[in-house]
This record gives sequence, structure tokens and C-alpha cells, in this order.
Amino acid sequence: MSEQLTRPWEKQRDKLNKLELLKLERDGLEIIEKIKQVARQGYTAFSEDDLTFFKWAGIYEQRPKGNGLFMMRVRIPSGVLSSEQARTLAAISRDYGRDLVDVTTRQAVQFHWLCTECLPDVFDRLESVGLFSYQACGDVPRTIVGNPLAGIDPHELIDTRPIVEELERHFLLNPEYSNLPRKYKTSISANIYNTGHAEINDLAFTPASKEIDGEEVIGFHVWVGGGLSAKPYLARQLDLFVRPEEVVKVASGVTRIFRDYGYREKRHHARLKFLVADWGAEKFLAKLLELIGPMPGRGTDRTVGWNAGYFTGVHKQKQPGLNYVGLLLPVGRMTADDLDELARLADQYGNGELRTCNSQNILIPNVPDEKLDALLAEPLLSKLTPFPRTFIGHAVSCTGIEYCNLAIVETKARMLSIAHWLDENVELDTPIRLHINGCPNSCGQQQIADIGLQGAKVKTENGMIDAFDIHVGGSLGPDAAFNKRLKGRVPAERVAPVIAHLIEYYKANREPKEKFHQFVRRVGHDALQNQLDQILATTA
Amino acid sequence: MFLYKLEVITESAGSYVAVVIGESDEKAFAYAESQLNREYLVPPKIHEISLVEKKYLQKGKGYIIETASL
Ligand code: SF4
Repeated sequence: MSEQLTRPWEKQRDKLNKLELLKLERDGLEIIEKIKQVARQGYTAFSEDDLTFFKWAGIYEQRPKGNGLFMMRVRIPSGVLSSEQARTLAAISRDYGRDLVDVTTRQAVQFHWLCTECLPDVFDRLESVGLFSYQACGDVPRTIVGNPLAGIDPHELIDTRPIVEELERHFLLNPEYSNLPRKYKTSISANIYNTGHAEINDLAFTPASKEIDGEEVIGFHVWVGGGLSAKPYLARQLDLFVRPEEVVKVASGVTRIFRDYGYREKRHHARLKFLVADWGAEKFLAKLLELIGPMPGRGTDRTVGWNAGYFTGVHKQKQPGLNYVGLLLPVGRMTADDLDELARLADQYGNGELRTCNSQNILIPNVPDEKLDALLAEPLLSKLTPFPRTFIGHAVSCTGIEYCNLAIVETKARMLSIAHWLDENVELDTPIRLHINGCPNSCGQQQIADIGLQGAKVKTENGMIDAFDIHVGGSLGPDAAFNKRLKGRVPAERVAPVIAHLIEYYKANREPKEKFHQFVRRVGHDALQNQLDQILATTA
Repeated sequence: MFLYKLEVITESAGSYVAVVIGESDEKAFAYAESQLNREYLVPPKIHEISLVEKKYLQKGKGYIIETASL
């Protein structure tokens, strides 16, 4: 707390935005206690400033603002969820959230339709099973994303669950970190296929090894300053090797740098990426070592590729005789009954655990060989299938206009219809990842998609219609790069056939085993632009 | 109330970004067209007008618009 009292940024109040001044007056986390005390009196019991701090409790006002209904996000660090926790989430959704449960692109769970009066009860129910919405939004460390296969993964160097748990305990409700300049996203994964999406987090730990005193030590490399939103940046790697037991020390140092040196003048220029861009990786590292003491330099990167979180199907675990079964949640949405049933299946066929994925899907781990057939015959699996068709199996969507105040267009239903159309009309042997955003804020992470869609509204003779900008060629991992926009806004009704045309062009001209993003980079953006121009020149 | 950003492509007078305050998406289109028309004696025909972003109307909110030259 002593460091909180000195607060270096306080010295230059004229360089602080309005919210920063408010954040000096009150600790964002105090809103949690106030909600517990006052929410039963209803929405009007809260001031406008209170409502601003609701984010620190993981709550946003649902669209339209002002009617006392909320979206709540729940932290699921590394996606690890027990059946008891799943049942609690299902019950909250059933009692207060109109039966909806959404899984997000950061493995969290979201409810909609929560009323003001129910919030204390929801907090209590979550706390009783060790779940928290606290710090799921706001200028604080958000939930830690990680390897959804941690502990069962044949492709992980070490089990990252204890590290994630330790850092989660360190970050959660810690007043040292309750006033950061902006949101702060962390990723920890030891999977060699970058399941933690390292490059788009403010702070990321990726698998590495280093020979120290003649012995090979497994640990992590550290990346800082990544993030999407309207101005996407890929994180930069520091010249640092971190042993597993030092992750919390390093995370704490990076977070304190962000807290004390991060920018607080303009909200759109406050994420860690702006400080990293100004300082560069070397200066950032020097400051970090000043805070945490000397550390060994970088070792060997062990990341060899990228799996964007797609684990549908039946797969062998590293434990002989055990399997995990990845299920499709179409665009991340399920009902309370689905989640209850998933909890039952996890108890009956697995070890009572579920894992959420940043592809907005879910998996049941620890299923013994002899129970697989019976699990695959369960009725729920004909709805949440482990064997989805290609496009629906690789489709990600943000919340969109249904509940989001900033959305320009509807997204989830749109993505479902696009993916289903493509599955009916396009044969494809290499998955193509489709992402959709309802506005430039990029909760749907469209910049990392093979084909990303960003919504706009276009005025036509027949009124306003939804339309989309198409972006092509994004990926993370060893060849990480964001996708790029093709010029020409496509009316929503034409998006699926336009994508089909681009895919046929890819199929006809690709090299053996070439993925879509690799193809785009080889043939060049202009080649894809030509294709789009040709299609748009024809009438629908 | 929102601060809207719209992109306007005209048939004969180039492309514009319009920034308007409005209470709904529909109104934002109307305000953008009206602002554009004020710039001309004979308003250009609009080829395409799209709403691409909206922000809550608050002090300090705005958009940075890239231009080829100033
Ligand atoms: S990307 Fe935009 S529309 Fe989609 S959920 Fe985020 S803020 Fe809302």
C-alpha cells in the first residue's frame, strides 16, 4: 500500500484524464462492497460515477444504457472450471440471465440481462464456489488466459495451472493493482502451439528452455505490449528467461512499470503497448531488472506453431488411457441447461472438470478410453458436437448489437448464418478461421483471423443495411501478423458468397499444405483485392 | 447521444469522413448528409454512405482521421 500512497502519476494532475482524476478519489474495487450494500435498492441508488466503476466488479451496462440491466463477465483463469462451478454459472444464468451463457475469446464466461437487485446474490453465489467477476473488466489485471489443456497436454513443456493460480491470487483484489492506466491482459501457456495467443496480450509468458549450469531448465520467455482494439500491436519479446517459480515476480514487476510509468492522459493512448512502443524492449527490460533484480537472458524459444484454440474432437492426453473431448459451442453461446448437462457429463465421464477455450469452445478432459463411446453417444453431443463442419467449427464472434452499446451491427447470428452457408456450399480440407467484430473495438479479435469481418451500416434505397469490411491473412505464432483490409464494403447478404469466391481462388492457386494466411502473404494482398473487385463488380 | 463516424463516397466529389453527434444511427446518416450538403451549392450525389464507428458523447471524445495531405 505504501507504493499506492506515493502514486508517481499524481504529481502531474494536469496530465490526467477525467477518469484518472476520479480514480485518485476512490479505489475502483470499493464498488464491490457498495454494490453488495446498496444494489437491492435498485439502479437509481447508484451515481454515474458508481456506474463507471461497475467495470471493476466485472459489470457493464447492457444496451440500451440506463435501463438497469447488466452484462457480467466471470474470470475463468486458463479456462479451468469445475462441474460445481459450472452448475453455479448455469443456475445464475437460469435465475437472472435469461438462460444465456457466453464463452468469450479470453476463456471467460459472460451473462446478460442481470438486474441491479440481483447483483449481490450473484456475487455471493460465485464467491461460494471460488469464482469472481471482480476485475474481469476495468483498469485492472483481467482474467489470465492460458492453455486450456494445461496439465493434460502432450504438447506442453510444463503444467501451468499452479503458476496461473498463484498469479491469479496475486492479482485478484490486490489494491496494488486496482488503479492501472487501462485494461491489462495476461497470458501464460507452456504449449508449443501458442494456445495462449501470446502476442495480443499486454504481458505473456511463452514456453522456452535454457541451459543453466549444464542443465536444461524449462521456463518462459516474456512478451510485453500486445493488444488488439482499433490500434492493434503485436507484443515484443524481452531478452529474459524466467523460471516457473519466478513468473509472479516478473509479472508483478511488469505490472508495476505499467502502473507507475504507463500513460494516463488519454484513454486511447494508455494501454501498455504505447509505453513499450516509446521505450522499446531494451529500456523496458532495464527498468524491469531495476525493479526485480538481475535475471538470465533469453534462452531457446520452444513455440513451433499456432493452434488458435481449436480442440474439437477426441484427443489423447499426455496421461496414457485418458482423453479430452473438445465440443463446439457455436459462436460461444450455450444455454443454462447445456452447461448443467456439461457438468453432469464431466462428472460422469471425466473427473468433474471442464475447460473453456479462447476459440469460444469447451472441452471435457480426463475421459478414460473405456468411457469414450458412451460419452460420444450422449444426446448433448449431437447439439454441441465434437465433430463440427469446417466453417462453423472455426468461427468466432463478439457480442454485437444484441447487448453491446457500441456495436454497429449484429454479429453472432450473422456469423452463424455465414458459417452454415459456407459449410453447405464450399468444400474445404484446410480450416479457415473466420472472426467477426461489430465495431472497431475488436472483442471478436478479427485482426488475427484468416478472414476477419468488421461491421458497418450502409444506407441504401431500401434503408440501412448491415455490411462488412473483409480483412485477410491474419495469424499468430512464429509468422504472426495482423490481417489487412480489402477495399470495398460488402453487404451482409453477399458476405458468404464473397468469402466462398476468395476461398475458391485460394483452393485453385495454393501450394501443397499452404494455409490461407500463408497463401495471402505469398500471392500478395493485391491479388485478393483483384478478386474482391471482380466479385463486387458483378451484381448479387 | 453518440459521436458518430461515417464514411461518404460521392459520385463526383471524392470521399469524406463525416463526424456527427446524433441520438440514433438513422439520425446520424441524416446529419452527415446534411453537413455534406452544406459544403456545396449543388450537393454531390452520394455513391455510398456508411456508419463505421460510434462513441459515447463525452468531453474529449473524438476521432483522428488520416488524410493524404493537409
Ligand atoms: S467488438 Fe464492438 S460490437 Fe463487438 S462486443 Fe466489442 S465493443 Fe461491442
